[in-house]
Amino acid sequence: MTRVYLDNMKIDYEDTGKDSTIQELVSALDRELGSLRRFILEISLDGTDAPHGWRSGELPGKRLSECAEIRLTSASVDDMAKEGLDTVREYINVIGETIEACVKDLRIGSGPAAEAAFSSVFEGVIEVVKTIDALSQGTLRYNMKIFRKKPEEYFGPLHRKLETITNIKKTGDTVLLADVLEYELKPLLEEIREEVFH
Amino acid sequence: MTVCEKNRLSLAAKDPSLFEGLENSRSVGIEEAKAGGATFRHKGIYFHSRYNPRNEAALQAEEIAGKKPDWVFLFGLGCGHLLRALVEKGLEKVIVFEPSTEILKGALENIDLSSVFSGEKVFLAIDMHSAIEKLRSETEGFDSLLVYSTTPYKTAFPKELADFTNRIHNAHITNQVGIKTDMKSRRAWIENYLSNLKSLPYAPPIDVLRERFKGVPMIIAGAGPSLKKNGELLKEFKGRALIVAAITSYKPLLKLGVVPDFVIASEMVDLPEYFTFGEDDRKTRLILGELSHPKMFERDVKGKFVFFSPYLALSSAQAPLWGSSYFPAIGGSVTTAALDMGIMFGCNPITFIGQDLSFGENETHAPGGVYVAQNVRIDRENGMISVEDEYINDKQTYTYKLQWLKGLSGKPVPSKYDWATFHQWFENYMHYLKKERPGVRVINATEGGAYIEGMEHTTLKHVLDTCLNGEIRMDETIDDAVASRPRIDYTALVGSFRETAAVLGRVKRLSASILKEAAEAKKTFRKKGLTADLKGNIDRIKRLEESVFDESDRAKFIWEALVNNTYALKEYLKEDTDKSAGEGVQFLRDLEAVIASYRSMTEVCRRFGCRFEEAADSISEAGGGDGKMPLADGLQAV
Repeated sequence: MTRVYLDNMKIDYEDTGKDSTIQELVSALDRELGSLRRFILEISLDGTDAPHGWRSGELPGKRLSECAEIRLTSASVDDMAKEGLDTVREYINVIGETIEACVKDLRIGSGPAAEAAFSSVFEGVIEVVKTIDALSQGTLRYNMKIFRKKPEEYFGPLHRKLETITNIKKTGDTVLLADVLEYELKPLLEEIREEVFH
Repeated sequence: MTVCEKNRLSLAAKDPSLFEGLENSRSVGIEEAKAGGATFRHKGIYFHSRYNPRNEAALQAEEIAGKKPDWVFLFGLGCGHLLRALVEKGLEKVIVFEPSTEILKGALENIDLSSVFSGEKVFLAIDMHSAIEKLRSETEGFDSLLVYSTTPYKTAFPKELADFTNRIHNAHITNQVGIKTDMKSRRAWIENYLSNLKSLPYAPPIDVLRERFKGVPMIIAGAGPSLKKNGELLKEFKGRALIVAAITSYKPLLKLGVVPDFVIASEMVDLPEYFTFGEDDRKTRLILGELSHPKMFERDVKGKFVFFSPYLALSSAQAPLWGSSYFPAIGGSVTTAALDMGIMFGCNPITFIGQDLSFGENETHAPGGVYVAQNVRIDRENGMISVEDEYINDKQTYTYKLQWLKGLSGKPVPSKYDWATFHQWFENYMHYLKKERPGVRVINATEGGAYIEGMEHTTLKHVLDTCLNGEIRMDETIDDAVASRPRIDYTALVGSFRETAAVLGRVKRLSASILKEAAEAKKTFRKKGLTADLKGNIDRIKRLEESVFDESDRAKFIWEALVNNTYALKEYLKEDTDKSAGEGVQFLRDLEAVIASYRSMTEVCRRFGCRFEEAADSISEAGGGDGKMPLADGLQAV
């Protein structure tokens, strides 16, 4: 029978039909941990750590009986939220610096360098929005108030700004692109950092 | 005073034509940026920041300053933010070219740039030709030039920018070539001229043919690879057009069955391999420079003419004494000089063949000449071209930096620096010709190679069908012209040599005194270091130098003979001084430079002082002590 550990402690469970999946195990544990404001963060199957984002892959559909040992690690919702916020804040700073570099390259005509920096900015902003959204959804479940202001209010302006940037880029107007990045997107991200986060 | 008037006033002294036609032009709409300053949209894009154009320009100026150029060639004035930022950053040598009259009008009418434009070395050009002219007149081959354009200009005017960059590059190379030629050739030219004194009475100046061929078609044959395409057709022109061959194309033309009426050469070295030493040589006439190798004047040909170069102070000053008042515009190649001579002869139209100015499929020159076999390899990746050729029986390999010129088909054709230089010269010359002599047609019937802006481009067959009239009385016309040759002023020539020799003697003595003072200063410095004791020596050196400059003003020739030193001094002055080494080390370096310069000057004065005395004596003695030389038949001395 498969040995299951949670935070290094062996736990008992029933799998009489030998057809229970990892998803079922994790959901059951999440439910129990919910009252403690914790959830399952990491999983290791037979000594191999599952990659980040394992919950959305094929792994949850796997049968427990296929493994000899499963080790699960839980995390505090509050700690995770704090860590997430710090990461987003730091990421916004990095995007700000990348915008500065991109704007400089655009203004002095270093096309390839500007192009590379621009891609980082664009992908970075999308990543920030996705992370904030995930944090927002997650903390809502636990009735946590980690944002000073509703971040969703900024999603619309950010989305429109990205749309504007995409359209300008198509016209080849690098001056306007640099202007929007420097004087519109960067201040908007700074506002999010100042206004949304505690 | 309006903004426009202020700008006009500050630019008028440099180029009064800048505002011509602007009033009829449309203008871009100028917008105010959020933080102040102007911007505008043109061709759908912004040319300056809508928020803070001054900061934007400062960033660009910073970038440019990091490259430490001597001159900035700014493609695009825009609203002048970058020009202003450059000047504020201390980059005060700027030549701006604005490709759009709409932008120019918008800027000049709305933005006060008068304080920037009034900078001594800030120039605005509205056509490429003026920009190139400024490059020629203001910059030197030593200078580092930077062509810069902001992204909007790159986007909106890509072709113009590519053309501008290429022209600036080629014009700069022309300057550099000029320096190399100067350094390599000037002393040899002087020596050649002095050796040619004995031949010049027998070679009438080429300007005896001035206006003698009014309306006669002229063909100038270069030795480019395309000559093989249509050279044979030249037989049809014989006797109906004046055929002038560059010396390199002489033998290829003979192979095609054409004996040119004239062969033009001005090389400082002897070129016997270009002649047949037979019957054909005696059917053609030579046009030689006064600086050509003396042996070239000894060739057995039907006749010889000489042209004086404007580049050598000595011979150009003496040209009138030889009866010449004509100095052809010379672009480094004999075909460029031939064009100017054709205009002087009154020829019209003037047609070029074999003027590729570029490499052919696998050759540099037309067959039949001195280049027996050729193998051309283009390395596009590294921008190099290597040529293996067999020159008579000698195999040799050359590697050149690849230059590109616009080809006849519009596509670039591979070229090298000297051809690119000639190309520049032709386009520049055509620009002036159009203004000064609009009635003269210049046709490029090479049927290959580079496109030359300002010339008509067609086939030689078309020229044959449309431009020829009747037979020309060639020999009669030339003989008449020779018979009317102006008198040679031998007395003045002797006087000129003696006077220059006297100046050289005085400069030699002054230079020797400077060397003595410098040696004493060096000794004092070694004993006592950089002290006030040196002041006496330094002051005396300065006074002596002033006398040297005063004297040499009367013999400009000295500076030409010293050209290598002058360039070495310029290089020295451009070097970054190592301030950490201390003032003493710098003083010693400067002193050594002074010593080297005046040693050379002493040597030049000694050498040429003797040569000039000899020249004066030979002119005087040959004429029986009365300053007259024996003359060629039919010529008359003063």
